[in-house]
Amino acid sequence: MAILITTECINCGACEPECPNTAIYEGGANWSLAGQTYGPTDPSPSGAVGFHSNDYFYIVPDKCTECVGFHDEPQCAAVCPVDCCLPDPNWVEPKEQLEAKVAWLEEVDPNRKR
Amino acid sequence: MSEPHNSTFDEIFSHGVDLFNAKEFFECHDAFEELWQEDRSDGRLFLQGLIQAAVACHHLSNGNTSGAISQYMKSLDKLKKYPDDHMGLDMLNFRKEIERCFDGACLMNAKGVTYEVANSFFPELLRIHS
Repeated sequence: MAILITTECINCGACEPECPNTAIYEGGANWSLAGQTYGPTDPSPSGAVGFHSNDYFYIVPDKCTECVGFHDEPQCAAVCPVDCCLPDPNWVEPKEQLEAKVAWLEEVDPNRKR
Repeated sequence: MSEPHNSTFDEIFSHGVDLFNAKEFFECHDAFEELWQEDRSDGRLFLQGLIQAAVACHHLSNGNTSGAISQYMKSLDKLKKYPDDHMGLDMLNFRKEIERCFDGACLMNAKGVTYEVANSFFPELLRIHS
């Protein structure tokens, strides 16, 4: 399951530097994967749409592994003072799928990591 | 007002209280968050409750009523775990005042009506003077 940032976000930016996959972007910003830049309405490689936000920090589902492969728990949720980083009900993924996503990200975008 | 990033806990906490009472809710959240990030004591949840109270008021003053109500409820859950007078603050009064402030917001939000709050309607963090 990818993590979702809700409208309770206050844009403090605490989560963004904690993401090991650089999956978190400031509201309104374009996002990138494997050297390609995506705009607000561009679908992700997996076909995901609707996750971009102009108002709040947002998480790209294709890049979020819930910190599988890096940490024991999602770091964005751990540092969020307003508890607005929640499991995204639209992106339910079992651990095996998240591990596969880590392997895929390593293959297509090994330089994404912090 | 500049942020006292190099000050002691007590100074930053007091500054956060002042910012809340000045209705500078975003800046207030920033001050308390600085303390919360470093704190690993039993009081960490109290600090987070204050952060969420400030964020609730910030969202309410900016028209994000549903986000405000959610933060308010999270805040109250945390603040209720602490004594009525805690860290030099009259929390009994604060809980009553924030409930009064958000009762209307909850009601109007349920009716789908935009809720605008006058600055004077927001709660204050009153200090207890010994």
